[in-house]
Amino acid sequence: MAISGSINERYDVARAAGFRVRDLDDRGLGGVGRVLQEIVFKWREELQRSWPRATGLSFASWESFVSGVVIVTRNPVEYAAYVHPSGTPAPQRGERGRSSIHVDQYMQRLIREEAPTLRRIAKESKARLEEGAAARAVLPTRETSIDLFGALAAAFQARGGYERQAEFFGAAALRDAVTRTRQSETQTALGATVAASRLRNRERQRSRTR
Amino acid sequence: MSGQLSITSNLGQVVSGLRITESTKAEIGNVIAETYARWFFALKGPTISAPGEGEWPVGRVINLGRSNERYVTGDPDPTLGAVSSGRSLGAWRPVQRGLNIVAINDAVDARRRFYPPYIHKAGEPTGDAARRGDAARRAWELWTQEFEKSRPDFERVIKQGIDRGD
Repeated sequence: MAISGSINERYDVARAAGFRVRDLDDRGLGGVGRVLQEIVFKWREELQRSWPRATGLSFASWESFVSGVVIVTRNPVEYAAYVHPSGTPAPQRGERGRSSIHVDQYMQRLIREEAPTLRRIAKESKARLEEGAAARAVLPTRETSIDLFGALAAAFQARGGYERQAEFFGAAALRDAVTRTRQSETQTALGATVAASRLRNRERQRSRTR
Repeated sequence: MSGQLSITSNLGQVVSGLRITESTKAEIGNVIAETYARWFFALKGPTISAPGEGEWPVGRVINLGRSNERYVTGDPDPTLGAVSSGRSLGAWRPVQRGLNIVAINDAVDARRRFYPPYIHKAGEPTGDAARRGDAARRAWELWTQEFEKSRPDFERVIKQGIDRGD
């Protein structure tokens, strides 16, 4: 991935998991596709849990989908690669933010975890092909027409996501909304701290009365 | 109703009967990108962490217990907090299929069922097997609105393409 700020990751799962696409018949390709789709759904859950939000633009702009035996995760927003959790150091020049590193590593972990299943599917598929019981699967061809993602990424590179939103909603409205969000997050964090402290106090009192 | 939610604009209405070169395609792509970005801002609102600010509801997922179907409302739910909001909003992506521009939403719930067609704002009727929630309708209206705003730009880049001899 180039450190341009937008993210465009293509995970070649066949290579990463150690199976050959040419070993897949239609049934095998279908089985692999279902595993990859489940990986995408699990990855989205982690994204949902971990990706920081202020305006929510970079969070909501993630695209994740399966294309043949490749998983694509990409984000056209020009600062997506630099996002990091609030309170953690900002990435240095030329580095990626912790959040984009985390979701990348998480995807690689999910693929590693499913590798044995994928290899088993490919092995069974290969056996069917060798028996002559099935024909080799044909992977769907990639669309090569208008590059919408490229156009979106270029649009955000030319005029940034925050700037565009300030224009769209009005700078003051955007600032107020982000401030309210941050206050609410602080209150939620404070609420959790207070609740934990109360719980500890209650436990202390209980242990004293025993 | 089940399956992904998709809304489509037929670019063929604008470019019907024309052969389009790569450079004109790139310019059309730029107009689509601007259109999609505006549409998405309108859906999202200034921040997704404040339910009710955008056109696409973010908030709690409730189980009505009817056929185990789940529906999403724009009710703010303090038990979820900001971090839980926006799952289905984040599942939109633009795709070009032939001369159609399609915005697809393939969000699933914990049981891996697509739920975007059922999403509705608080106070609006829930979607059901025969009828979409109001969020899908609103998304479609906004899409049409933004597409129409961009129509002069589409026509301009195509005319420029023709003038260049593309």
